[in-house]
Amino acid sequence: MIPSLTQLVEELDAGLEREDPELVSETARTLRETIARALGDRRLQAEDPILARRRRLHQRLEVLEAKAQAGRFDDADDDLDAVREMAHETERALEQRPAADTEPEPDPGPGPDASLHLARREARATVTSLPGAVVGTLSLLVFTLALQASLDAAPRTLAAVWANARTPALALAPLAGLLVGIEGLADARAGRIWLSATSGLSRTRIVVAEALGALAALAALLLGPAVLVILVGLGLGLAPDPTTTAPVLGGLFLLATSFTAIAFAFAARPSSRSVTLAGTLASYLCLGPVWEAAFAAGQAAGRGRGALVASLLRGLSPVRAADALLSSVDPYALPAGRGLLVLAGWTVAGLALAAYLVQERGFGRPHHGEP
Amino acid sequence: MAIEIDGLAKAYGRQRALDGIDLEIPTGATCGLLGPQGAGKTTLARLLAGLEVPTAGSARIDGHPIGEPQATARLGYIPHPAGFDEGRTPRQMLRLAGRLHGIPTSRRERRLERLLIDLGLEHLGGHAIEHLDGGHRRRLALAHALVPDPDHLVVDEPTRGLGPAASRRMREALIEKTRERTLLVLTSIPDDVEAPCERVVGIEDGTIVLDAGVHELAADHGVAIAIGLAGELPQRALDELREHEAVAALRRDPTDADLELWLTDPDEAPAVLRLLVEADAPVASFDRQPPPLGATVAEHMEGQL
Repeated sequence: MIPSLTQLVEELDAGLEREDPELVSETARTLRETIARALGDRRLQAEDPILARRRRLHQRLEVLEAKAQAGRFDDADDDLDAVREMAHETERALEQRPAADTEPEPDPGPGPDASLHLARREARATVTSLPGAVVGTLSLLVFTLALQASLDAAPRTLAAVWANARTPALALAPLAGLLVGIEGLADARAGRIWLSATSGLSRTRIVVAEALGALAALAALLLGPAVLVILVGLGLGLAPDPTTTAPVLGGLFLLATSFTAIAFAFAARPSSRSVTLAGTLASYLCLGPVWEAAFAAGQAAGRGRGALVASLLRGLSPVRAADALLSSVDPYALPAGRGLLVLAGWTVAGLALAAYLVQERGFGRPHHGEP
Repeated sequence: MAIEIDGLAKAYGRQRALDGIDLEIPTGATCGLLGPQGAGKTTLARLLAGLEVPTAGSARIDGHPIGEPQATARLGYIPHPAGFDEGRTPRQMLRLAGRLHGIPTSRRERRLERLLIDLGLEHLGGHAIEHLDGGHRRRLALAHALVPDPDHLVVDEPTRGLGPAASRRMREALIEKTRERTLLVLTSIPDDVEAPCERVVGIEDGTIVLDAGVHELAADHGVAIAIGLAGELPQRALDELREHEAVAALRRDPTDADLELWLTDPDEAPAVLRLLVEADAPVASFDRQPPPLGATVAEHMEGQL
């Protein structure tokens, strides 16, 4: 049983009465240990008055001990009174402090829904970001203008809207994908990645969750205005045309996602936002107009196997693959199914590369941090 | 062993941030890694938190290699500078942390409210983080690290950029909240180590140059003693003090009867107290005060701090 502080002070008193320095020292040591044990069970602030009181008590005990050792037992009465008073106060203060509680069960750790929580946060952050606002505004503009042009044309169907929107949408979708993609892993550049990286999720899982969030944001920003235009068009009397609408929206979205994935791969490298932006814009130009021009020329100039290879490579451009989904009027267009595969391939490859880079090299340093 | 670091190195291109350091921190120990800016402290913290991958060497947390989810889940990490979702509130931020860690709702809410109260943030729980000042943001980062109740805590520059009051509050919070946890404080400010840590490790240019107990290090450099007197100090006591070989300096406070001594050997303190008592000095208090850690560490580290 742990003795009370008051009891121990009485033993000190007895030691002084008997003029026994050994008993005084022994009791003083027990008193210190008893207080240390009691404080160890309490939640205390560093500047807690109870700690300051213990310090004063220790000092006074040390003086009392020294006087006992020197045989000045009569002089130690004042010190004993001070020790008695401080011990009493300490005992009362300890009674008022609850012992530190413990939680019986450990936390279960990150579950499958942790990725979804992270994806939702990423989606919200992207939609409310400046690139998100740009993409949403441009998308609304393109589809609204296409609707406006279709209202005066014949036949009055939604297919006319997509025909009008086709060219600007083919330019917009990759840019939208890139802008949303460079927002991906922005946490790492901004020094916020610790918020999710210390949650017990693997780096790969964080990249996948952020990619899911980016794709959800992309769907909202790119397809949201398109759906709005469909509803307004139907309200204005345009005939529905699901066989055209579904491939158009699906093709545009997949085109955008393939560029989002490419931008993710750039963002996974520890570099500044401007380097990421420059890299992704270069990839847009290379995979779109440059690729098209290079292989179209090769296809036209080549013969036999050369023309076939150029044709195949031309078909690997995500822009051309999306074009195949949107329209099959081009004699060199890919079948829609192959276009779908090409876009899915770019998306998977881009995200896999991003996940690999982050897993192997980490998130890199934030760009406002110390060197 | 809570944290085991074996030959850990990290280079950014040709620039070496960490040059193969070895360090072991037992479970429940408190260790301060002290060094100037650019010494490699932040790199080490980020490696332990799994944000970066070492160029060479390895480190384990509770036996799990750094970077693996089992390792990061056991570690609370407070970076410097700490970026936040500025538009969110502290409560939202801590709630998301709890969700990511899979903490059941009722326990999560109870814990985050308690953290906000304990760290003096309860009145700011609903404000956007962008409106919080530096001290509040540091304590919020601490709260975030504590949401999963980790066994070990790595804190990068806990008080850098804070004023004296905010620094003191942060150190108090660290001491209070790291009871029974392993603590690794990485800092360029000696006071950050002196308050909560029992061991100090010096780092320069990515290499460990000093590893000692805080108190042993201070003890090597003597001790200051403030003596409270209940009356006049007898001349005999004063003479004997002046003649004592361990007493390097002696100062009497002109406003009261108190006395300050500087002893070259802290082990001589009990002998000095006995000397005073035997000389009938009316000693009322005898308070040891170690020298500032910064001074003692700087001597070992060629004054780089």
